Amino acid sequence: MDILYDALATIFQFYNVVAIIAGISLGIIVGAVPGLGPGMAMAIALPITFYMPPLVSLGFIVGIYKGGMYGGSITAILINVPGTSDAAATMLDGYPLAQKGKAGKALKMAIYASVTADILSDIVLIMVAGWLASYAIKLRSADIAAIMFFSLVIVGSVSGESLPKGLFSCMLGFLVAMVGIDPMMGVRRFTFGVLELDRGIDLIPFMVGIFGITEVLIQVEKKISDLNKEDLFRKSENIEDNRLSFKEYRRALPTIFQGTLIGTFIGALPGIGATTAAFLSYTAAKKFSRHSERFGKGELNGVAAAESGNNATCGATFIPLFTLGVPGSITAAMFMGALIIQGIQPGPFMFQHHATTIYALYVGMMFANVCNLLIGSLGIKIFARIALLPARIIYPIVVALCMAGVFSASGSLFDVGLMYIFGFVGFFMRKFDFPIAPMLISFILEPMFERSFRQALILSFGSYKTFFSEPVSLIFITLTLAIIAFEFVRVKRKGLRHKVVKD
Amino acid sequence: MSCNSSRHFENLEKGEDMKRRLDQHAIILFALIVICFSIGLSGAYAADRQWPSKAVTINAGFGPGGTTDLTNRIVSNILGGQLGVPIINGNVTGGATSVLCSQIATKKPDGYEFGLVAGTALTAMPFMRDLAYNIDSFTYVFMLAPDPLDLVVTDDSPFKTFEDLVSYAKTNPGKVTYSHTGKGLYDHLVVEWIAQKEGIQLTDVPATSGPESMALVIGKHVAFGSGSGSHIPYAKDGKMRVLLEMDGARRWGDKVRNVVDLYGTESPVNTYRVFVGPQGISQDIVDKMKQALLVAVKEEVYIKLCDRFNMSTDYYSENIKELLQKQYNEMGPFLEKIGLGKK
Repeated sequence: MDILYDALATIFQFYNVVAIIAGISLGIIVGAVPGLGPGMAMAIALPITFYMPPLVSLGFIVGIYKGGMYGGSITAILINVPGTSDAAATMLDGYPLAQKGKAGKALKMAIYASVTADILSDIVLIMVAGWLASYAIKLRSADIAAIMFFSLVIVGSVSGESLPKGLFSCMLGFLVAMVGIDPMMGVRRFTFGVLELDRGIDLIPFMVGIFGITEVLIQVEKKISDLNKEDLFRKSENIEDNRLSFKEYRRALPTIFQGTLIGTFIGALPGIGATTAAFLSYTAAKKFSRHSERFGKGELNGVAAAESGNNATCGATFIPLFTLGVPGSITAAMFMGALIIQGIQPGPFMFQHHATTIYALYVGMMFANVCNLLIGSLGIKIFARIALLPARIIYPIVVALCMAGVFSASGSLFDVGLMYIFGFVGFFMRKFDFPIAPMLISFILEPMFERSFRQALILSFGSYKTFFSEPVSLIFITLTLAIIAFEFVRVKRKGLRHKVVKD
Repeated sequence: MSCNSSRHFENLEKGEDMKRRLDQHAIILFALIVICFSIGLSGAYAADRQWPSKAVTINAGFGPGGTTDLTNRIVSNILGGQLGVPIINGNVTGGATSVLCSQIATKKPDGYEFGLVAGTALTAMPFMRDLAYNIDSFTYVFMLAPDPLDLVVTDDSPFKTFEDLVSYAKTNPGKVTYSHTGKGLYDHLVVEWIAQKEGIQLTDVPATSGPESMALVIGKHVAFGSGSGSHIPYAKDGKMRVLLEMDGARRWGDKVRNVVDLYGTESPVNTYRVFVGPQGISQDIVDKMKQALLVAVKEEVYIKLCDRFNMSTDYYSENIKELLQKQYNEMGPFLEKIGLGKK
């Protein structure tokens, strides 16, 4: 009890509170701008934290992270361009809702689902971190590869109407991710002698291209005269359309809990990440919903599923870091840097040496969640106005932000060029009804999947038995094969039915 | 009628308003032109003045948030104060800093473009890949000491000493696995150099970062790890045992083996981080940079950084090219022998 009292007294000091609020506000803004993201903002803030006291610094960094996780959903809902890749799943139902004039409702669901999942995930971090982490470290490369294989197939199989198109999209993502120096042997792949391609293709130009530029191209394709005449969205006269009732929130709770569970599990594993968690949660919500046909057309639960899935990784991603000193994601690695800068070595001994600071940080995380809710809710009134702007004003700004974001991330005009190339790729994919989400997921997972797959084979001296010899990998591979078989049968049956109808 | 007249007045007012605004715009425009001119003039003037007369760019070859980037930003902050101009820091990542090296090599040697790159990008990479630069493409300004490098096992590993490990590896060729942070990087090459000296064959498992490599060790997925800094907290807390100091520095006392005692020399592979500019920067500028850097590496905040991240505070301000050249000469044959040369 003493330690809790100490923690409370330590965290609620003027500068700590200001730092958390400033971090959240900054996070929401960088999260919302395509190309900028919380990871980058944390990296830029790191050297500055050298000159700050521990809790001011850590509060600020945690604020950026949590704010950024929510911020990405704002642009996803309003203009169909996710601010960060983590919010890509939020687009699927958020944007259709905004088109129906329900932008306010979607944004509110996003913030409530985010904060609920975040709080629950933080509680898991505080309560059972040690147990989960000791399990996560024992997972072999083969197990991780199997879990990734499972995630890939799930997302590839359900995101679109057609399985072959989904798989094609998945493969394209894989191919793009393989460009550059091969991570295991140091051999060049698909670089065609272009030096800039040696380092591979970054997530930012890829993501901003396939979502941001693609969306702009889709809008440009519509006649300019139409754009001038009408606004992007139907304006809603019904006040209820931009509110979120408690009843609606309560109805979404089971979805949020499910998303939290998935997000926490995925977050605690190294390298899989929030984007995948969001899509898995969305897919699960769609599968288990009584109205799965409504998903993708403006289902409020779809927003709740995606946002709870990605935000639940927030607390969980710190589990391996705090208990073992192993960062499981880029943001966790940034946070590790912030801790080390303050002289706190993350790992099993952190609680012995710095108990008060860590408990104060936990309280600060909870407080940051509340701030996220308040600032996010206040912001919605302003953000929702974006939906009222005519497209001819919004989209030029989007292009400028995309270019600025991509350029600032790497300082390379080459990346800006890549962004446009992917913009056109995404445009044609959407024109021909290829789903884009599987491409994003496979792009994100490829490096980790390839590495764990090849590590597993090195460690087993080339024997594929390693994937079937232990329970975790065996379970996930069996599940994956079952899903493929199930999908195959479903498609076959559908085909038969079509045939019967035709005959 | 009344309605019309009020509109008339409104229009009149609007006209007045427009005029006022135009006046304001003209003033703002004029001010802008004056500012532009003065900037332009000062630029022209600056070119004649002594270096540095404008912002200096120092890019890091690794991504934001890592130790190289942090070092660069913190050192640059002090450097800016010393030189009296702003320092612009960016990141040009890829190819273990060889992408940044290629970029720097093509810049004008006017003293406004520098990079903080890995030593192996200068001494080893040219033998492994076709690159647009070689060791003579740069002006060498300053060099920071290498990261610590130790061979580590978990505290309950059956290998109690380095000799245990070697004798087991001798009878089981290829069966001993170890993790490092990337093919061709320092912590991989040094282990291969040692394996060659001992005549043993090991199986390497590449990870992508220090913490990830150490996670493979703690999770008991590999027999030992090549620890390049991330292992130190574990070693200090007793979770890991150091069997060999692979960089030649002495950190862990007499009980731990040291490569210099074993082989009489350090490995030709290094992990220096080097401040380089394009070839042909005038000695005057290099000296000024050196002076400022010498102040920076003695500042408290830099020493704190090194301490927190287990980096050495040693540095080299003289004979950098000679030191790297010597390693460069040994690297070619060595990489060829372990099969990592250009294919």
